[in-house]
Amino acid sequence: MKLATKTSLNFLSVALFTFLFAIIAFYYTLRSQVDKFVNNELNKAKIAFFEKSDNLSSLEGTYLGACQLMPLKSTTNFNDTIVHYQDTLIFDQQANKYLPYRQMSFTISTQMSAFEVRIIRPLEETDRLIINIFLIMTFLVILLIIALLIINQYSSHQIWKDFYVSLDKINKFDLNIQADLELPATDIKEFEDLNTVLGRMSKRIASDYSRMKEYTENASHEIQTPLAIINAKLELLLQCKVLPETQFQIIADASEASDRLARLNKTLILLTRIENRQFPEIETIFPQKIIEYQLDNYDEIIQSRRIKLCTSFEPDVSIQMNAHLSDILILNLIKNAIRHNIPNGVLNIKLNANGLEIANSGEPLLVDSELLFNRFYKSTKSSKSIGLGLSIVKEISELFNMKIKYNYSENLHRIHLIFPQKTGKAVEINPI
Amino acid sequence: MKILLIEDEVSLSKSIEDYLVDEGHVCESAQLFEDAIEKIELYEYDCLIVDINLPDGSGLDLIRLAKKRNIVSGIIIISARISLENRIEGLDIGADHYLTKPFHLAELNAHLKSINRRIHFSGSNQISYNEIRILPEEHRAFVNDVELTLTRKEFELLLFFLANKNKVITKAGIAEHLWGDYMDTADSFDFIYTHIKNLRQKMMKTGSADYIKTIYGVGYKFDVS
Repeated sequence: MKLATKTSLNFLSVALFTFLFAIIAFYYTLRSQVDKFVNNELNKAKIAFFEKSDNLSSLEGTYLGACQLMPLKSTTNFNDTIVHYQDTLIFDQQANKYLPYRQMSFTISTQMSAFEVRIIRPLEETDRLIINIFLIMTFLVILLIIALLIINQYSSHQIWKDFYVSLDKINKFDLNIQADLELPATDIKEFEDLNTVLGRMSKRIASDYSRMKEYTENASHEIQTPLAIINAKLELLLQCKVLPETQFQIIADASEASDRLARLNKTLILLTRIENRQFPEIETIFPQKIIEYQLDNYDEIIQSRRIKLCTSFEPDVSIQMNAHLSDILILNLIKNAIRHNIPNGVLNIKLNANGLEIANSGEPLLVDSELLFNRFYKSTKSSKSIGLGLSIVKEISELFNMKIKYNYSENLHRIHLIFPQKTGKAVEINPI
Repeated sequence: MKILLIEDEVSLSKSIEDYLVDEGHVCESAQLFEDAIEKIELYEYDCLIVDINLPDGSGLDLIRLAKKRNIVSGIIIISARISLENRIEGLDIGADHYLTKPFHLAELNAHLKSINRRIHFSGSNQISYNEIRILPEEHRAFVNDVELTLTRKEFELLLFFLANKNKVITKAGIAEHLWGDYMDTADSFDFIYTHIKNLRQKMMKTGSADYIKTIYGVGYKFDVS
């Protein structure tokens, strides 16, 4: 939920709650004021009544203006000073319905008899007035709330505009593009503070990141030179003609191990470089060409293992990616499919606009297929494989928004690479 | 060939020098940028082997200088940097090959041989050894003047062996030469075995001696002794 919506909702709920109470309180206040006013009127009528009523007996049972005199049965137990006010409905013959009246009743007594005097005042007008005032007030308050909401939305949109610009910049900020995070100047202190903090933080992160990247890469590269020395020395040793067989074997083992280390290190450097997004150049790649090149490269191996190769290419399939990485991606997939194949197995390659599917015969995986793309995962106990091939595939495909799926059915391992849908937009490398 | 080796790591420099001298090259070495500049300005060489990252300068500048003076015919870069940009830049300014450390000395040697052929036979070259004759440019090989029908990898293998005669070449060295980096060794060793078996059969069928010896557990050797 957006902050502006949230504040609006808070405001609205409080406003409605307050308004409900206020309107009820307002109604009763108004009502009591009006009652007081009517009571005053009735009191005036009472005074006027006493001025006119010289002969009370003749007035019995008649109306005197708005006054009605009712004879009382008993003359005892009443008090002349008590005055009752009450609201009542009286049938109006002209309107042919009951109309609201306020009635004042009090008693008067003479020597012979006692009367109850009732004076009434119509309330219809005042009631209507109250309702009108009430409606107008409600309307105004609702109008006010709506206006406040609109102003709130508008002003928060204005206020947060700088924030959203900053947010967008932060979102698009890429540590690999070596540009500082430049946030727009704003006249709101909080945002200015935020921008300053973010600017400082991003600078520190960028410098830490480049230092770390440099360190990882340097460390790996530094390992290359001593490895080169070891390899060269071992290679020289192998050329010695006077070495006894046993020592020769020792050197050969050491040489093999250092070769493996060298390959491992090169692969890790490659992975680091992919992770560090150091392959920014993107161009149009035709996977078919690369596949055909690699199949040609491994042609003799495919034949010597009597692997039945079956390819189907949809013409002119192209993807947007880095050329070097596309080579490595396809090389690894094909190499993998050949390596884990069995003699007389099959290798099916299907390329279309949606993706690339490579299927090869082979024994089912011994462990969870989820782990297949993990680093240093090995399906066999073969110590010579370094187990980084498919994790390179995964890294590269993630970088270019490709999905990768694996399944095993009918003795076939299938790796399905799904190309990103073409949107017509320029391809963007996935942010880290 | 007269070679100038510019490599700041003395130990590595010494190994390369030993290997090259054994191959019959004249090899001078420089450890520092300054020394290298001096040598490039004073003498002429057939080939330059340059490390890019020198403590006091960039090997790329040395290549530019040598190219400007037009004193070398072949340039091989050896670098610990895997970066593609370095490789492209190096090749752009005129290097023939870019080897990433660690590399196999046999690989370096094969590159030197191809540079040597280019210098001394200006392209129209052939490699002969006893009954074997190879036309590298045309990808053709003959034994006793009978043409061998070799696959591409078998041909490359034969060329590699002839460049490193009498040298023990490890299986990893062969695998990297045939398939390049990023080749996992796991079964490329089997592949190599297949290729070598086929190559040997084809050669011997046409009357060649059995030159390719298997050094058990290590690799192979083109034995001419």
